[in-house]
Amino acid sequence: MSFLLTLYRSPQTRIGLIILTVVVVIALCAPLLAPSNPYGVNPNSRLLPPLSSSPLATAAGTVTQLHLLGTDSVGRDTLSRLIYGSRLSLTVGFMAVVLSAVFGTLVGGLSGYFGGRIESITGWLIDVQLSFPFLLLAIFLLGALGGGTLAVVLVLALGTWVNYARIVRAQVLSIKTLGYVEAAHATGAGTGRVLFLHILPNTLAPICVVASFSMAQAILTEAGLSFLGVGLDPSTPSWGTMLNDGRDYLLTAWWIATMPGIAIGITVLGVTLFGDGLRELLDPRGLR
Amino acid sequence: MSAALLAVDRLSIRLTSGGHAQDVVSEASFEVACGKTLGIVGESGSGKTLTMLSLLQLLPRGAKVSANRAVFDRRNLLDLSRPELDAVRGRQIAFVFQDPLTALNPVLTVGRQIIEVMRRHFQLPAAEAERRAVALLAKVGIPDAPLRLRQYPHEFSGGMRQRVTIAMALAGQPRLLIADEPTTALDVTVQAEIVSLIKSVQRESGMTVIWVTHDLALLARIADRVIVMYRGRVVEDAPIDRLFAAPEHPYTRALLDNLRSDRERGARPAVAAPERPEAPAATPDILLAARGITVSYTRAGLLPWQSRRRSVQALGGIDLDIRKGETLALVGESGSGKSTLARVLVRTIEPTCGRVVFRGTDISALEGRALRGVRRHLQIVFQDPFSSLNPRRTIGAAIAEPLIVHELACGRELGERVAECLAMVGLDRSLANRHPHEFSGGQRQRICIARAIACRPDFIVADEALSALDMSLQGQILQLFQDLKARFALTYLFISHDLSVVGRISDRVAVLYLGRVVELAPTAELYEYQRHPYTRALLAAVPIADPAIERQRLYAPLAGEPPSPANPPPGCPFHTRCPRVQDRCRSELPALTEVAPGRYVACHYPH
Repeated sequence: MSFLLTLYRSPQTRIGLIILTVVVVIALCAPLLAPSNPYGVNPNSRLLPPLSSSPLATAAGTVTQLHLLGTDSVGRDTLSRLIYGSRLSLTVGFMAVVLSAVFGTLVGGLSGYFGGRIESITGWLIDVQLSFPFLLLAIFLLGALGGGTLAVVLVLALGTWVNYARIVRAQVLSIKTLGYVEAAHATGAGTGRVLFLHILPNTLAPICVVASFSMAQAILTEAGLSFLGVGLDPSTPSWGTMLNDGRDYLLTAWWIATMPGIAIGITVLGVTLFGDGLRELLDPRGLR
Repeated sequence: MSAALLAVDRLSIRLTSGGHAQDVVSEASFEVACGKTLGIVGESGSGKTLTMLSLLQLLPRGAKVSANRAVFDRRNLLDLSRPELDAVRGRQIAFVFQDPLTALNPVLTVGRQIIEVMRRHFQLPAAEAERRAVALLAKVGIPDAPLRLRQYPHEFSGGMRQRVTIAMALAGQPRLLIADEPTTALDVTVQAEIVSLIKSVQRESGMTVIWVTHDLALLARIADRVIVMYRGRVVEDAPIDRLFAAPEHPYTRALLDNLRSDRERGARPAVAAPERPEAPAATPDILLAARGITVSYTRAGLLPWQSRRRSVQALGGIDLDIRKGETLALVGESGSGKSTLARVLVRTIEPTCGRVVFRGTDISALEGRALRGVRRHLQIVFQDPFSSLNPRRTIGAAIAEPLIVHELACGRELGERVAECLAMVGLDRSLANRHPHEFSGGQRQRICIARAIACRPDFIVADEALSALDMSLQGQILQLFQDLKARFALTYLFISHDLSVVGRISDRVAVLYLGRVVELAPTAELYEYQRHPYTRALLAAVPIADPAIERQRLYAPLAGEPPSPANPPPGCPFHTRCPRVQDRCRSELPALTEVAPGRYVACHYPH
């Protein structure tokens, strides 16, 4: 709890924290918050602008429904889809970042620490990964795996772990020459202890920075993949698929693409601010 | 002093950062007479460098300077406009900075950097500027000047780079040279050369010098007048003789006492040396023995098909016995391999060949659990107290680490042991859950020592453990080492480049040159009479804290610099700098032989 309190103290981090909390709460409570069914196609309410309302036939009779953010080309409520979409976008972004950060850090850490053959192999892996156009790889893999949330997460992680691996490797190379690592060796601490207690925790700051950028990037890339039609099922509400839907109506119904765009922007801002604060917090010099 | 070239009256500097202001220099006043040398001495953070930088308005943003006046040559430096300032900087007042590695631009040739200064101030034709630059390089003692002019800074050694920065400073023919710790990063023998270089330039051109340093003894050699700065204030301002003869401020007195005790130990060793049984009949109890330790690094060529491998020999076959309960000092200049040897002994690096026998077992062959068991008894304290503690872990965790690794304590007992260790090094037990950044350099070094003694080792290597500390702290930490030794019957290997520090603590001294032991002797005897010419030169290069003695001392600094270990000279490694060199030295490597009981020298023609 004191951890969150410390985070709350810096105004920037506070804004990030508030944004993230709100977004996460919205994602968790989507069924309670969404004014209508995000899948509910209604031919009578196609392409309605924000703040308009439409009649909806229900079992109890016809009710008037307000579309705060308008509707899309098949008459689904944009706000509801936005709210449900947050679930997927956040899950995908978060999981992709965690997966790639863990994998990349491990690879980078081992390669920097042990050097020699391990370093050659990982270096080779990184080069292969970097020389391969990401979109091509993503389209190929998603085609093979057949789409779906997990597949998208895997592909996103595959695209970004290299960033962590390279940064962590460079950090480890410099940290392992420092006195405290040598002192730990001289004390008799084993490899695992030195690597996980003394070296990797000290690489956290750059990892934090990369992670907060990558989270944003992952949400956007998911949007891009959905846009290309290889990501998620187009009927699934996600910010990416919504952007994709809105593409054809940019001139006639601007709100369809704009609203998820704004949502992505705000979330990314929140993540970045929070990540920055986290980095400072993890630095022991920043305590107090 | 009517002929003052620079007169500063009540200069204060206030630094503002992150909302709170701090007076780093308060009301400093001093004067320098024309053609004289003013020494400014003080520990790090005493404001001596900032004071100098403020004179040329070189302070970082956020620093506010106020002064009654700072008159240089009848002009107030603090009122100068930008163009006027440019005409003064480099032309009237030039700087030599501490670190020759960073003071030169690595992507420009040395010649270009010197010529730039000249052309800026003198509007010379290119050919003339180059001619002058060559002359200047020759003047600062760089051989092959025309060739060296076209080389880049990385092609120069540390001492040579400092000569280049001095040449750059002299290029504008300044009237005042401000040398800010110009020799701190250099070896003693190189320092002696730089000092005599600046002195000779000063004699020739009548230049005025301000020499900023933390080493009061060095000033005995060069300064006419000394000001002592302490916490941003000038606490003493006196001619050199009076300062050394009758220091007034307690801080100055403490500094001098510190230096004097070094000297007394060196000059009158018979008195200071503790009584110990002379050469016991049985062979002394050997705690650790190194046999034929060789470490060489091979570098493959840059590209795979380049088979040309360059081998750098860091240690060339070292035999060393360390007796139980003694303090053996290992002295040598940078590149002599002393830190490498320390790391081989505690087995953080593997020797290319050779054995280390510790308490009768050959530890160079041990692996895994057995090695860990031995490590408990061998500990090391490093030079840099800032990098040798993990910034993310509390100091309690750092001290507990050896105890946890060796499963010596856990739970409540662990906390008790940590508190005990903190108390032993003079720190309060309540500090255990603080992080390293909350401590000063001296405190951190205490923490490192606490960590080293936590698992009660028999043998501690102190690798330049005092070099990063201020003079006044060195004495305290040295005392701590001695107290702990008495309490736990420790054996030390004390590594240093500073002979004066070593004199105070060690029983025997081994002098290392280019990866070989050149002389090994009991400390007292070594200070009295050095048999190897290198040891002799090394001791001569150490300044003595007495201006009267310094003035009479005839000392010829060693020519040249230590050769690169990548390309060692054939024969005796020292022959390139040796004043007594003979033909035999150029071809035949002298072995370390016992010339008198307990005295070993590796020289064909020892003193």
